[in-house]
Amino acid sequence: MSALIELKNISKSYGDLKALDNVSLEILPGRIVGLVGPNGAGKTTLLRALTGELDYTGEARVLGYEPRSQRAELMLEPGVIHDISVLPSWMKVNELLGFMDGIHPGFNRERAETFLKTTTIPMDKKIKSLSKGMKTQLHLAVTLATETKLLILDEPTHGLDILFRKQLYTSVLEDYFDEEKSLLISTHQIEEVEHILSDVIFINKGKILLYASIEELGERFTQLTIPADQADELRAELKPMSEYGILGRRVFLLENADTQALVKMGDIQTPSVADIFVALMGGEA
Amino acid sequence: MKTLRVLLKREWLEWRRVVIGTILIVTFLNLLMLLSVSRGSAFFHDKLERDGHIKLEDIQINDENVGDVDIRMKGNDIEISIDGDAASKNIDKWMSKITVPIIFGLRIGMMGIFGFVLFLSMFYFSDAIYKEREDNSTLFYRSLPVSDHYLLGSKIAAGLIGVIGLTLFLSIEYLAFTRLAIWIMGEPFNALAALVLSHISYVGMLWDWFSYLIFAAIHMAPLALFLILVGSYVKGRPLLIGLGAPILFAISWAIVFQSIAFLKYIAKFFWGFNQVLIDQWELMKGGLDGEVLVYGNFWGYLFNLDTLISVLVSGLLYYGIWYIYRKNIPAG
Repeated sequence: MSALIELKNISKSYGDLKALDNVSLEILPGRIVGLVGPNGAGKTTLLRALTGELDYTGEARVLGYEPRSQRAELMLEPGVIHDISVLPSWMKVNELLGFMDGIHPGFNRERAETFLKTTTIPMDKKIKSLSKGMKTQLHLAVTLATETKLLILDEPTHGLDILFRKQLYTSVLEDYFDEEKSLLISTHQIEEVEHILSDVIFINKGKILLYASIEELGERFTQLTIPADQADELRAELKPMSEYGILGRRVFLLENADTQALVKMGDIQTPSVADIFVALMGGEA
Repeated sequence: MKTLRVLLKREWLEWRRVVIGTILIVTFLNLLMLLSVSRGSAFFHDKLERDGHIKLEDIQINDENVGDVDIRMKGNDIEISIDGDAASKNIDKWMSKITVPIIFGLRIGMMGIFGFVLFLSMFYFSDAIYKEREDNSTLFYRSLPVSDHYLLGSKIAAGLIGVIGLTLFLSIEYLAFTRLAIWIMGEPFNALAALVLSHISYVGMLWDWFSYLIFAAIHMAPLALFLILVGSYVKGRPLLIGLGAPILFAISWAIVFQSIAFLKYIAKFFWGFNQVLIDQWELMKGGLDGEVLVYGNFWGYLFNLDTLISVLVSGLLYYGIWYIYRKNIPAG
């Protein structure tokens, strides 16, 4: 199965600041990949490099195209939703649908209208008069109504309330995703997407810290809960990535630990992606 | 082609209010002209009936000369004297004099319309990319399967089509209103003006006007593209910076180098399309002999060194716009 996205040693600098530092990765079809990192980690820069928005050094192929020089050809395939409202503010909703109908061969106007009927977005209003949530819904409707193999979501829930957030991911999973397609979701709020991810990429300071499937994370990382009075002794032995206290007990997060041996020391669990992220970022900070 | 059509429609949707507003403003001015003509006509008719003649003092006879015109009714006949020269004695001589101000009026009206549209187009060109940057929609357009050249080309094409199309439309409207005004004026003005206007080929005039607009568009293209370039880069006020920066540069150049030769060349270059018009007008002063050329043919002016320079400079500016557009520098 050929990769939808292939990056080799992608770098991007803004003056002295390295926004991307030798990033290499492959994303296969049928995956839901979370690109997770703190603010300023390089998530948006990476996504903009993938969509031909930025110059970079290194080799990149997205759906078989070189993003920068073949942007127009490439953009037949992926759908992109940015972290900010990017729809032309002067257009009316129905004008946007007409525009997309004329410009994108993969756009299905009926599908978009069907989706919009489930919302409260008025068709004859200008986009600038819509709320932030409505703008995101509208962009989602337009994107999901377009036949694409890859959907790139850059902080799609930024600034939205909890209802819109839930609705957005539900719509993406129900109306878009299948085994032929891939989703790349950038976020710094890992808790809201970790239950839907198949893979996760942690990025910080322009570097990929971790790229693994959720199953691999479960095999590689373990959470050990022990009585507080044993903490000093076990800390020296196990060298946890991170730890915290809860209800008089200590919780260690361990990497590549022998789970058979850990069972004898305390309670073991699979850590959440958020815990692993925090542990890794703690080491980076 | 379909892509270009859709993108041009996008420009129309975005700017239609300006286009429709311009048409309404010019129509309103035309209606004002009709109203004043109607009032003036009633006044002159009353005066003619009461005094037996109308004397119009200090009338602009042609570009240089001002004279008195006296219109006298003799039964059903009209006698018109210009500076005491009775036209009835030499109708051809009189006609050659009266032709000039009428054609002058047509030219001034149409040039005024062109100037107005040109002024408005400055706002369009400076905002063409700036507005996209302001609402971040460049990211949206560039997430579509459309090349940057289509996106930029459609904006430039829309501007040129808009300037030429709107000027032509408003010129035709102005000519129609002029005819209507003459009709409203009633006799004897109606018959007199008809004598002049019957010598004008309207189709020929509009064709000449169209060729002039093409010529002017090519000469103005560097300025239009410069404004787009400024709008694709600056943080705010693209028109102010687009027009102000070259003026400041010109003043600085003159101070530093103590020479305005370079500035004169630039001014001459942009004045070139105007000078062509003036040159043509000079040729038209001959008087009435057969069909009157209101503007003259401009196609011959298209193929010269200035046009080549315009095209080359426009090409360089386009490359600059494309280069900066791909960087999508945020506005504001």
